[in-house]
Amino acid sequence: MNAAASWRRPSPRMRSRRRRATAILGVPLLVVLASFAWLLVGGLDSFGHTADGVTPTDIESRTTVVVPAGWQVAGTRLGKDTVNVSTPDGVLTATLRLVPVEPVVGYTEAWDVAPSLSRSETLASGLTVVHGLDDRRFVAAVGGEGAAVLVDAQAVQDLSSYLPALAELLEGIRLS
Amino acid sequence: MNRTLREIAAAFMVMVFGVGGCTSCATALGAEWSPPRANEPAPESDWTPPKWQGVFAEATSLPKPLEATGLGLVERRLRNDEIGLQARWEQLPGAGSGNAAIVEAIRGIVSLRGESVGVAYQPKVFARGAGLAARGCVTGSTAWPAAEVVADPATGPIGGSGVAVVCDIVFASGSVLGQRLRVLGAQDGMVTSDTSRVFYFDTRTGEGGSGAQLWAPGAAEALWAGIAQSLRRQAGLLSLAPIAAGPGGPELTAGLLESTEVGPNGTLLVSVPAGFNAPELAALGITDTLRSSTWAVPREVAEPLLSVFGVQVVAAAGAPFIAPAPVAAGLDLVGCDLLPCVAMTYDDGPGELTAGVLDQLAARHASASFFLIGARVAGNADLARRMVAEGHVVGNHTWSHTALSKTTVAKAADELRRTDAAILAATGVPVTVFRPPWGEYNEAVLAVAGKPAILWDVDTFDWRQPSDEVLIGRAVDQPIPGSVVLQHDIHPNTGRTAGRVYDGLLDRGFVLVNLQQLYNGQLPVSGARSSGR
Repeated sequence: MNAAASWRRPSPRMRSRRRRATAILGVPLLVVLASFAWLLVGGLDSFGHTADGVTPTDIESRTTVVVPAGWQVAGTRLGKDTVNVSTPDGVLTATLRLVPVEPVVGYTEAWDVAPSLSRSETLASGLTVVHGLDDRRFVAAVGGEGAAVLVDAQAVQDLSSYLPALAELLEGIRLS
Repeated sequence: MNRTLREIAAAFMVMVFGVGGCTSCATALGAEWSPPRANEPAPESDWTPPKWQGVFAEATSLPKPLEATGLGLVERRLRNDEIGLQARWEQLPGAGSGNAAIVEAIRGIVSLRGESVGVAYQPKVFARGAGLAARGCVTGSTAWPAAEVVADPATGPIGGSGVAVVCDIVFASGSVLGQRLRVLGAQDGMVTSDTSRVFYFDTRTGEGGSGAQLWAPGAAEALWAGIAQSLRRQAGLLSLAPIAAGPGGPELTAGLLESTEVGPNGTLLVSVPAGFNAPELAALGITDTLRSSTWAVPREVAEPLLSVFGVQVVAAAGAPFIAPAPVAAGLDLVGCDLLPCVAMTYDDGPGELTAGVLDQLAARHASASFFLIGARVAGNADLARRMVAEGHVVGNHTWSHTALSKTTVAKAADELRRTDAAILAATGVPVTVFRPPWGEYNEAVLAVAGKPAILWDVDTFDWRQPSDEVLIGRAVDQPIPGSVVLQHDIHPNTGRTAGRVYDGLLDRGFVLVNLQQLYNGQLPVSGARSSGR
């Protein structure tokens, strides 16, 4: 008996079982594939994009930041309460995180920044900011109505030349 | 469980584990993301961070002081222990608004100091050995530590309490000279204040003024904007909100402009002292500045804000220095109510010793007055002309050394008239003062003279031929500020000791002036005077 002879036309019952099996396994498989595709697209977003200096990036649903043009933006895939950004040259990186806290005074001290180096002022955006600069680390808390965005930035070289860039970043924060 | 239910359960399991697996996978991908680490190669190596807008760069240093010697300047030094003051500065030869500005500034300091100690200011001199012949700027002293300036007897108030004024030449380009004047207040050696201002001089015209005069009206408002932003960033503030407008900042900035310096490339430098603040900055939470700072206003920013004089100064930056033309000491601006002056006077010449006396005066950039015998003028016309050319005052000492009060009025008038004519003929300059021989005069003599009789309050009796040391002692030790010293440029000891006498007087702190300067340019019109007091 040769191989060809071993093939038999499936019976109608068998065909019915195959169709049924295909439906039972295929539909969930499609759902799984679709889910994977959706997550993959979202995941790609978490790998970052280049900010245009205009489009707000969500930190959370009602909190945004307009990241200065040219900066790299990325957020963790799940739980979008944190945005990671970096300057185009990669020297300075910063994490922006929303916390339901007010007032913001005292936050920089909590980050071990010397109180003498801490500054408090009102931004052009109308929000209050407390910030401190210590060696190569910059921390700030931008506060509004019952919430604050904490900014934690570090650089591998003198951070003082990046203060104007950080000012732009702080001015881009909006709380609502 | 029938087969259908088993199949549905299988499908559900596939979905649950499939979606869960994918979610874990994707979450893991996301969780593994992190911002580019700093030690990774820069994605855009040519990108540079933005800079603060509207701020001035902070200058790390002020223009380096220049050596004043050889620039053709007139050195000044004023010491007054009564009010606790020592001041050193430089002037251009001659007069002019530049000299007037700096002398006025010194007067202001003296006046304030006098008021603060409750003393009516009068110039003072000191005993021989005071060392006050060393005058003008001590190079670099405006950059010394303040306590060092105050403690140094060459620059500070004696005893450590009072005011020290020191100077440095900080700009010498083209026909412009810039002098920094630093004023320090001190109490028991502790510095209580420390301010500076700069004066600019046009070496060709003598015109000039303080650093504030480099700027056009209204410049303070524009400069305030930059200074305020600069101080805001210096204080570590980041907000991009505009600074509230107000009059306080611009008004304070106008005061800062006195200290404007010009760098070699024409950049203008404005200094902000420690302890500075303004209402507009205080409103931002900025406290008083902890240290002084100097802000560089770029030439292109400054030029629209400059006065005509300021444009001239900036344009001169980098050009070879044009020293001022020599001017006779007798034409210098002195101010004998500010500086201790002494008027050396020489009677009975001109003679063969006169040229030597003139040489000694010229060597020290000093001035004097000569009362000439009319009969000797014609034969020594060149000496008379030299006296005038070198800025000395030439007066009438009668034609033949006649005792005017013991002769007739007509004879007296003739003695004086003929001498006036001879001097005018020789020098081309009318005579404005006379000195009656032996100091003998009366009202009739004064009337016919038609000019003031200038006598003396210090007689060295050189005609008695004392020893040189005795003569020097009399000429150097007896004068007080405003004195008129009588000597004769026909006696060898007078000619021989002239230089040592001048040095002694300078050492005591005197300025050697002619009679015109002694009376601050306003000679008496009549009567008789024996001193400038």
